[in-house]
Amino acid sequence: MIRLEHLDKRFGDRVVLRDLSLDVSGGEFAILFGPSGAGKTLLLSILAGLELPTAGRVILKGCDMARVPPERRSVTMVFQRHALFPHLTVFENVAFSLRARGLHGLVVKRRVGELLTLTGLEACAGLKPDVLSGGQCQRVAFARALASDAELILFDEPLNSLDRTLKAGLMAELKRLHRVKRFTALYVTHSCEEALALGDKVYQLENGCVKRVCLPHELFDRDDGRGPAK
Amino acid sequence: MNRLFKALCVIVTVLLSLFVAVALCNVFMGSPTGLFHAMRDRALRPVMEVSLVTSLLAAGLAMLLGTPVAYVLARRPFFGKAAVETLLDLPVALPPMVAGLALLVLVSPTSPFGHVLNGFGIHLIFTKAGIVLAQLFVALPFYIRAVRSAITSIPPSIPAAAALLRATEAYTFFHVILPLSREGIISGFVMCWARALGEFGATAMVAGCIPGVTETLPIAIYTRATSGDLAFAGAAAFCLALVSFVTLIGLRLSFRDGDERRKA
Repeated sequence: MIRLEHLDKRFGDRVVLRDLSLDVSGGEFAILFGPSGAGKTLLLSILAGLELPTAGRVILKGCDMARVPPERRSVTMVFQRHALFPHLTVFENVAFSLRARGLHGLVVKRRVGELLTLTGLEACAGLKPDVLSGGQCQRVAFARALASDAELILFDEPLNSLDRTLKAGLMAELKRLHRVKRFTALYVTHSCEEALALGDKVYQLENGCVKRVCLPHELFDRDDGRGPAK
Repeated sequence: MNRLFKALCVIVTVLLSLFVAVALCNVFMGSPTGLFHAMRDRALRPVMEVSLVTSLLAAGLAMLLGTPVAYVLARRPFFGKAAVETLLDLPVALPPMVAGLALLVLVSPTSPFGHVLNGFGIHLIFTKAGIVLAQLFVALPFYIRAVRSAITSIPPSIPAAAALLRATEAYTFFHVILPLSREGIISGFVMCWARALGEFGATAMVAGCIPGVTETLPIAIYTRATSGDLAFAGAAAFCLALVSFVTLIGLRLSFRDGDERRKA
């Protein structure tokens, strides 16, 4: 589904990503795990087309994405701070992508209705983002991403600013949405808890390159193969 | 020392406010009877009409031309951007007479550009169109500045999110950028209009002061005051000051409402 080949990103002399390669299959929920400053968010920006790599290739469904602008990539992103459109209601936020693609009003209404039901936001349809809670905002962001019909959804630490209880609820909801919609996801986090709850596969990033690829529960194993770490 | 500093700040603020208030009182309350008669003077109506129509046209044109320019300056990096920004800001710092002379030379029938315009039947010297041109030239930077600042204040993740929801740049501009810059557009329009309404130097250079044709309120104030008709000049000044005052109050009230909504 997506393949990154020998990706490099430099800002002047500073190398942020180096010789980074990874491969995510269709329908997979992959986790990009690593400490702050490891280059996770930059990698998402490159995948989304918001940043250009210095070297290497981004391949989506067999096509090189080098010269494809963000709006034509079939990739969408759920941002850490939601990035909802503050002047639009919840309904209009979710409908944004459908309207931007020129879909018929009735189709838009039906699709948005389905997504609001799926994410439990029917009661908030007419509200603007400034009156929603953090958890509700994130659910709108999920619904909006699903409405874009993108083949790849990027998640940039979407649960970072939420408290523990809310986080647990949204993780379960995201897992359920993934089970229902089977989208391909690349999810950035530095939380073992989120990686374990959501991921099918984990790419552990360190200093701009993939340190290891493992299953979520193997995150707790030591690198030297001597069993689980404390 | 701290007390003295605070007291000095308060005294300077009070004195400055008093100075502005007294200066304006002379316009608003000069001679009520004379002012009333002058306001009813039939000669004032065409002057007001010329001023209002040309300044609104100039502000409308500024909105039409300035919005895409402000968008490009706020969102796109390009070679020579600083030079373009300085150039577009220049009319703010330029003495209006210099701006007027530059425009006069540019559009006079003897210049190549003026010759081309004349070929198309467009005459800007001593016409209302010339007034609009002069007002636009001087007031456009105010509009561009306000809108550029409003667009710059939109977090970059918002247009990025729109692009990742498959919206083209044009769709994002009309459905995201413009609505989110609404306050900047309104305040830019009002500032630009107020500047155009009060424009004197450049307008006088390009359009002259033909009574009933190219005589605007500021020009009427100058010509009538220098010819001794202080009542008419006072009435024209009263109109200008009233418009500025009402505009400023309206702008402050509308933005205060917006601020309160955001705080709530």
